[in-house]
Amino acid sequence: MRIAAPNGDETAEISLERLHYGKLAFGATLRVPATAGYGVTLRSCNLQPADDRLLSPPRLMALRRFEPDLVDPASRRRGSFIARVAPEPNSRRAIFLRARFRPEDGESGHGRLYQQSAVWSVSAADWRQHPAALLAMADSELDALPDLVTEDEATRYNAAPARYLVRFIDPRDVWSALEDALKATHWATPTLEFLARGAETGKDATLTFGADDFASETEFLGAVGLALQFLPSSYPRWREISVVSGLLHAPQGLCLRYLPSLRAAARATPVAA
Amino acid sequence: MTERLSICLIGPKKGGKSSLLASLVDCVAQSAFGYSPRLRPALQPITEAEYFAESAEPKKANLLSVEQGDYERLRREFAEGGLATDTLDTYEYRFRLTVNGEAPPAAVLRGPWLLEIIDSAGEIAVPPDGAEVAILNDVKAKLARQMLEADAIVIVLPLVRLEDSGWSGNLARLIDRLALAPEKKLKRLVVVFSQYERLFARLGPSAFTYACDPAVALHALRKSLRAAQWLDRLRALEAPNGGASVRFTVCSAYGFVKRFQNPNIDPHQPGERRFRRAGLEGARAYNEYWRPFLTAEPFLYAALGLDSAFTFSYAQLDARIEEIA
Repeated sequence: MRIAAPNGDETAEISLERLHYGKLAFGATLRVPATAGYGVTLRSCNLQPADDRLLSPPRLMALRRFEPDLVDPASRRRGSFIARVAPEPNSRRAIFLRARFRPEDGESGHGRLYQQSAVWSVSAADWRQHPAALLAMADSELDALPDLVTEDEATRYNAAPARYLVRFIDPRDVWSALEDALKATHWATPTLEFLARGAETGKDATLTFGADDFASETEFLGAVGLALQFLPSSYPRWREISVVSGLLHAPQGLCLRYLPSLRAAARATPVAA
Repeated sequence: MTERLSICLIGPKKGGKSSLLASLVDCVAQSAFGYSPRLRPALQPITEAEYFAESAEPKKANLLSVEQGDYERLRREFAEGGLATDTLDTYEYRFRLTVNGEAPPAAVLRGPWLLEIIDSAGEIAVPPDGAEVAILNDVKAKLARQMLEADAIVIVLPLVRLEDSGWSGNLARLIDRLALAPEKKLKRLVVVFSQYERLFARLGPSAFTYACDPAVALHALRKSLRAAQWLDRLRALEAPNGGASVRFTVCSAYGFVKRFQNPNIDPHQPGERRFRRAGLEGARAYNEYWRPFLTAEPFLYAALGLDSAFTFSYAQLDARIEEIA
């Protein structure tokens, strides 16, 4: 849906369905009570229980099991991130997942770890049109935080989808920003070459950046968002693109990945595998 | 002759199922079990492909291989404080078991054994009583199928929190359903009470001596069973009518500290951690002091059907009650 904003810019409203998997918690440090077990703790009203399987973290990460040693050490606190078109065939939704392992005895605790994750589900068309805005939103607002024991269960399983207004970006602005990046940064050329080569060859590949390329995940997601925003609508492998941060595993297809623990000593240039 | 056996681990969450499994190979390697040392069992983690291969003989290349894979990861997670098993799937770990020493010929001639041990989150089979837990239906169906197809089931219960447990109703119902299921293949069922070391927390260096006395374990089991009358329902599973043999035992994944012999929980570390050597990381930091206690018992009984000094039948548990009567 296009909406004309008061300043004349065109905006679109994006609806985000939400699903949380993990354990309920309480208190300032979000400690897990002894009685709390694993489960889906929040599900938007437009998602069905049948979606729980489709939106489970291992499935979205193309893993049999999500394990702590798959999380980049520098990403342990906030967790791993992935954005992609959902893996089921002909899926019409894109997903954004943040998943981590946190101690049951609270945020700075030393107890047993458990898995906590948060998923956003949006229409694949919105992801195709607004990758930069969605990645920026996910960076700032998608966190794997437990829901509270005190929250009403009926509310948690009937949560309203989150709605955001995003501005359509002028393609000339995108090109202008990318042109600057091509001159001033190390990431723009390999990223565009990677995407172009991926379209040509049709092969699976991963382009991995490290701490020398981006100082933070925020910078990485901003850069990748810009590159994806630049892709023409006819780009043939859009559905196979995944944006990954802090995860040592790369899904099949074309994967743009950031590992904050990776430094230049480990590899000279971004690696296309 | 190779025998493939499937063993299902069930029990409430935080009962110690994954810790029991994670310490299994070390327990066998350190002979920290109640069987005769002359039994000389050996247990080696194997891959799914090796489990389903025609031959059970270990590959020559395996002689020098470094342990990797799911089981090694489980051991690593245990060393780092543990990880709550998620409810998104059930997880299979496979082993090759051989008995290299003295054992009854009927047992030895059947080996080697290829074991598939199935671990799962406690919330799936034994959810908290009265709680609505959103578990994926296909995961529940998978575990139900695995339980019905299992040759043995190991029920892991935390010894020290039995009275105030919030799951006994659901476990009792599960036992009833299992007893009534005509399609089950169950041959053996072991109830293992975990966290046994905590009973001896105040005994300091005498703890291990008392823990090593089977009479103490028998006493602890009788006391626990008196507090958990619902476990009497397991009698329905016993042969001849139920077709299975039921045993009770105790274990401790943390065990007792080597040389010092006190329970292996370091009060100076945050959380519940074992004693460790400062300056070392991972499993190496714990190995100097760590000796698990009887964590092989339920699996060796489940696989071999051999009793140890610490596996007790209903007949043994009932004996004293009859004497008193």
